[in-house]
Amino acid sequence: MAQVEAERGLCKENTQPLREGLAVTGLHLSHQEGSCHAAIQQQRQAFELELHMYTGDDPLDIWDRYLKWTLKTYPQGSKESSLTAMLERAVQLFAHDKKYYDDPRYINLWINLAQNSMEPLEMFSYMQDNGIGLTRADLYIAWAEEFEKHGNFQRADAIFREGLKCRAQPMDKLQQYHNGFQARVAHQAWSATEEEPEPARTSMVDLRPRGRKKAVAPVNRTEAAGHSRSLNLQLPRRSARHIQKNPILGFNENQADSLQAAQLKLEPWMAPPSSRANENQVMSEQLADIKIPQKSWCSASSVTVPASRLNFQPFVEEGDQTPSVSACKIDPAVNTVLSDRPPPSKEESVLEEGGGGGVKEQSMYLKELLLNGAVELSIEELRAEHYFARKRQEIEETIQQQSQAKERLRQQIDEKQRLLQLQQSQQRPQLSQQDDTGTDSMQITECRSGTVLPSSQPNAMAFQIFDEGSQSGSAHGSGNPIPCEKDMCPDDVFLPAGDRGLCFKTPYPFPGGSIPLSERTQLSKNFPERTESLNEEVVSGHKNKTLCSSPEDTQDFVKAAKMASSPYHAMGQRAVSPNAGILTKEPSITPQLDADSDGRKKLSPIQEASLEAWGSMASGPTSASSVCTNSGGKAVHHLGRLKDSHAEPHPEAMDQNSPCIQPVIEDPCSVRVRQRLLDQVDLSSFPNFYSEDGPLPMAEEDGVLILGNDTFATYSKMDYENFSIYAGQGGGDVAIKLERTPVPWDFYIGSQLRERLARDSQAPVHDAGRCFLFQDGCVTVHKASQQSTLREVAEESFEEIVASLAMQTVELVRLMHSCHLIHGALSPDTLVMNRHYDEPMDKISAAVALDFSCSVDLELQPEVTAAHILPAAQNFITQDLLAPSASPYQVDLLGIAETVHTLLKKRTMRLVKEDSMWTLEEYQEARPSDRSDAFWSKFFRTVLNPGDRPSVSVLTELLEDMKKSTFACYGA
Amino acid sequence: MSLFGASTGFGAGGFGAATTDTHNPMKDVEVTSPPDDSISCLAFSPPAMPGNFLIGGSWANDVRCWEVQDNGQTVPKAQQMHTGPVLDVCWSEDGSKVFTASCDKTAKMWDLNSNQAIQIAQHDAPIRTVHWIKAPNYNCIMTGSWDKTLKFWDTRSPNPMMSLQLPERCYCADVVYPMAVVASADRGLIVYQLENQPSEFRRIDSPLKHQHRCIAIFKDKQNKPAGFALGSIEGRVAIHYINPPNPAKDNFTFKCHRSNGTNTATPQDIYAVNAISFHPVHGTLATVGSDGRFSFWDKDARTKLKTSEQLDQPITACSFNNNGNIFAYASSYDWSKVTFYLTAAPLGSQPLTYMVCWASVTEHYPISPIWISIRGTLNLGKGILRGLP
Repeated sequence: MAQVEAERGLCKENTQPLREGLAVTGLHLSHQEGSCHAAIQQQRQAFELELHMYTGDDPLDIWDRYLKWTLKTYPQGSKESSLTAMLERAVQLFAHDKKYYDDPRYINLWINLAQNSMEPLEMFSYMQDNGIGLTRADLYIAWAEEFEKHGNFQRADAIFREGLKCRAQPMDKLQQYHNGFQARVAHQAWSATEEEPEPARTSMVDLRPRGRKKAVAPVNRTEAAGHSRSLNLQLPRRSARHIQKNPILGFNENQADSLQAAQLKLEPWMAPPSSRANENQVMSEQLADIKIPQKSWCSASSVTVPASRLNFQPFVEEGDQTPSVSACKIDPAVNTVLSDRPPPSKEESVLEEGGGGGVKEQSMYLKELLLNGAVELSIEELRAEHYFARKRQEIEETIQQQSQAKERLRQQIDEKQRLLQLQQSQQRPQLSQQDDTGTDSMQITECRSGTVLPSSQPNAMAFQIFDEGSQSGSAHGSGNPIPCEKDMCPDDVFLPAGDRGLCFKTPYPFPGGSIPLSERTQLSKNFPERTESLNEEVVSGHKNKTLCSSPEDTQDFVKAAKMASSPYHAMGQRAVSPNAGILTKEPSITPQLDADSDGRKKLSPIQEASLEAWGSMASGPTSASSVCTNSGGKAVHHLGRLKDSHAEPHPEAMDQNSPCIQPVIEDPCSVRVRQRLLDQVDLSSFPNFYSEDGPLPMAEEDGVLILGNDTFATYSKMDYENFSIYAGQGGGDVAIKLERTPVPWDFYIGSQLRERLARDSQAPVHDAGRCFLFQDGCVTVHKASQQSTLREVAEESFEEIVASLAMQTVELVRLMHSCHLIHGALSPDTLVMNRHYDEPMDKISAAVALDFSCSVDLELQPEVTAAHILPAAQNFITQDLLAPSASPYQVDLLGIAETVHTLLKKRTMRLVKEDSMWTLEEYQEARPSDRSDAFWSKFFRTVLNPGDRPSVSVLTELLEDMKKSTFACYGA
Repeated sequence: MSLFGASTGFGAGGFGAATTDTHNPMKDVEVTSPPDDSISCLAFSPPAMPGNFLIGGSWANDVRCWEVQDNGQTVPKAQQMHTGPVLDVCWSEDGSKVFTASCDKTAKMWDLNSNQAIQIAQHDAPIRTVHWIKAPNYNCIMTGSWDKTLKFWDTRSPNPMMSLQLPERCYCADVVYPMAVVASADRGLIVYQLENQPSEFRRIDSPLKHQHRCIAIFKDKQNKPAGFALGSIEGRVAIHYINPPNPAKDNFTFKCHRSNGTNTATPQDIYAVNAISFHPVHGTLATVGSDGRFSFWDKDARTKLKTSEQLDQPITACSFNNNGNIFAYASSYDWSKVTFYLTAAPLGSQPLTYMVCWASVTEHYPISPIWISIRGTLNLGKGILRGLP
């Protein structure tokens, strides 16, 4: 540190003072050159990136911060800071934007540029002539100070007066500086009478950091000149301006008489005075003050402005080369001649100098974006930056999701632990009674632990330790730190699962069977891995999936490439058709098996439960319902308490609980119930329903799927909890949904929707799709003209498009409700846009739902009378959003809110209750200032608080309202 | 087959406009299994190899190898991945290896016989160019990066044989022994000589006023490098000789890739020149631009030989094969119209990409043309369903 101080002592004399003071950190940075160089570069790059990536409407803000940062970081104004270059870029960028001309930040850029240039006075008068900052006091203050530095008090005074005359803001500041200035002048005048004036005053000018050897003598002469013209305050303004404009008009010397006119139509950026002028320009000023203006103008112009100064870019291309172009061999009019720069070079030279009259040109690449920062970027660099930004964002999102998932798991574990303790203290007798009833391994464990529990102290400890173990286990799956003194301890973890699982079920290899003790140990050892896989599941479940192939997915290429394992392998066999690899691709067994096992692995606990239930129902002994009734009374008791606690955040777990909460009414969405319901309906009479013998055909990405007489090409695959959807093609773009349960519920709901809509001639025609039922699953083929889910569309679009998507969603729900159908699980991942979103707003078509697996048909299932029966509602009920006795339709309204919110804000809803009205955290204020905020605020209030009104009317009104206000808010 | 050919101006690259036929108006042969994102670079195998192999690098991080058969059909052969977009590829002299440069700051050597790729170079920023240098006394790889260095690598060592500082970020480069030329940001232009060891030969004031974008060295009658053609981001190419007898006369620039050149009423649209390639036999050059056209030029006669029809997407890369009877060009979204994608279509969404390989040839070239065609579509990226014409 001492060394740093010493270093700083050595170089601080070079440090430029800043009006607002220097930041100590910046000073330190700037003085520890080597060590912090990288940090500074990084910060600088961050600014550059921000400039290039900025898409908002006030880019000046970044420049302003960039400037302040530069001034603080490079107080010595080292060459490295490239301050001047940066300022030049900045002022140029906004030169065409008149709205910034009186923006203090822009004026600040200009003033800094002027003060860092060789000829600040020229800069200032240039600003004045172009009307930049005329109403800002800062300009006049800086300008007058510059004159004062040169000892030209009269002009300084004139500048102040001009500023006051223009009523430059803030007036009082200007006035204050003016007073100060006058006091100084008076003082100097007074002291001048006392003694000879010292040159000290003027030499202040030379304290500039650039170390330019500015001769002191000329400055003194200037001062002398100024004095010699004493008391002539009015005179110099006009002539001085002419003089200082000279360099700008350098090219017009042969039209000197049209000086005024030229001045008026001056191209602004043809002419900002150079800030990096050479010594010649000092000359001009000397001459200017001494000689007759007119004459000095001529001489100055001939000396000072090299052509290259014009755009801050040397221009060497045309002028000296044009005469050299050899004669055209082909008629130039045909425009096939390379040297389309004709020798006379008339058009060309005009073009190059940006003057009017020639062909206007417009760059068809994103010039502004490439040139936004202080350094230019190439198209590739900009694109790479976007690529990296996206990558970073993806990584951040993944991390966030992972930590969320982890947090959720932790909460679950805590909750289970708490419940278990309660259970242990209260339910012990019941548990021990239960022990001999079950064949279920869960119950065995339960009773075992039950018997061990009385010595609760060590057990509680075991839980504590295990908890940590599972967490760290989820962090690094391989290590298993469970302190397993007995087989008992880890088994305890499964206890709650046995109670109709809060979270972790036993793995599927042992459905309903009892597990040998050794295997059980094995299982519990595997437990952390399972936690991890669940974790992944949650994460990947949230991940943005595309119907289209991911960039990394190059399967068909790889497959084609497989034909020749090394590139040169097949060089002899040219006969292979390039298409053979793709079109005649036979479904190979192995990948399918992989996919199959993958599918299994990704099943969520719920799915496992339902599969299990389905499987066991067929085979007999322990079905879900029988388990339910088995432990019926007690379970209700436990879970009733659980419900009271409201602390269970996991909707999936609630799903599993639901049949037990309502032991009388089965889950209306369970496979069993549906199977029974569909038995009542003659599906085979429905059009587009095909019952096929045999197992579900193999589907794979980039394969061919043969269904009945139709052949579909399948591309990319999206996996959901208990089904997967392929984007495909076959008679147009389609989405193909594969389910592993032979219950064509989706098709049923779709057909009902179509049928019931058809009753109303006004209603749009709904396409129910085609359904192929196999022995062990079913396939539903939807037409999907846009193969992007709402989430994908929204991820990459603006709010107005989300508004359109929201309307499509609302319309879908409205149609369904009008047909007495409840969707049940609206999600941006299973809804597909029906049509292109920039079609006119007034004709709203409903989104296409790819998944009806949580849907309920109230005509077929009249027993569903209240929301609490629906599994999808449990989550809302626990949040108090929904009364258990509310109309089941309201589940979808909340579903809309959730979906649209995810589309809009890309995160889950945070709800606040305000005067018994639910609203979103971000739209809390009653009267949002922003129009779009008001729009969304209203939208969410309506959807979240439907009251007792029928949902169809709520939605119809909402839609009408949205159409109107979308128009007002976003335009058509 | 001209039924579909002339419908230009329809939905150029628009969202959902995937089924227009302007993507391949000349009905050229399309390469099977194109990458899933924009193609950044193309390179044909050197003469030492029998047959024609085409390497293409893309923004989908992959490098692919196709065999182009004599009838023009393409057979995908293999691919390698980087962890970032691939910006440049080149072949070794004998055709056994391919070198790839990527935004992941590495360059890799891909041994085509074993189909193995290993990293051979590392920079502090994305690597923009990679070139193979074969000198009598050494072989090496030259990489130019946005970290403002030019490095030379012996493929067996993790450290560069030599590192030269550039004044600015490297934007494009070309090598024809014993000459190398690098064009950088800020319109820098440096010529290197490669004899004995690489060293800076001369810095040249840019003949162009706008950002450099692509460069290609041409040879004289004795097959020695004589100069280079330099393309700019604003529709202009400069022909520059290194040691011309009469610099003022021999060096020149010409406009290209601009719209409505003769019509002065509307503004002229200027497009970026994305790549330049010299014909290995005739010494004529091809330029490709963001306007979706490619043109052939004769720099000695200073005439334009031919311009293609306009494609609905920019052409981002091109390459002649070793005997000059095949010309490959890649048509893909090149990011030059970012605003369009910022406002209308999702940013960074899968752009419409496909690659077209056009078996060359105009009346100026001795071989008759052959055409093939398969394309990718907007979201699906895979050209499966469309067969050969």
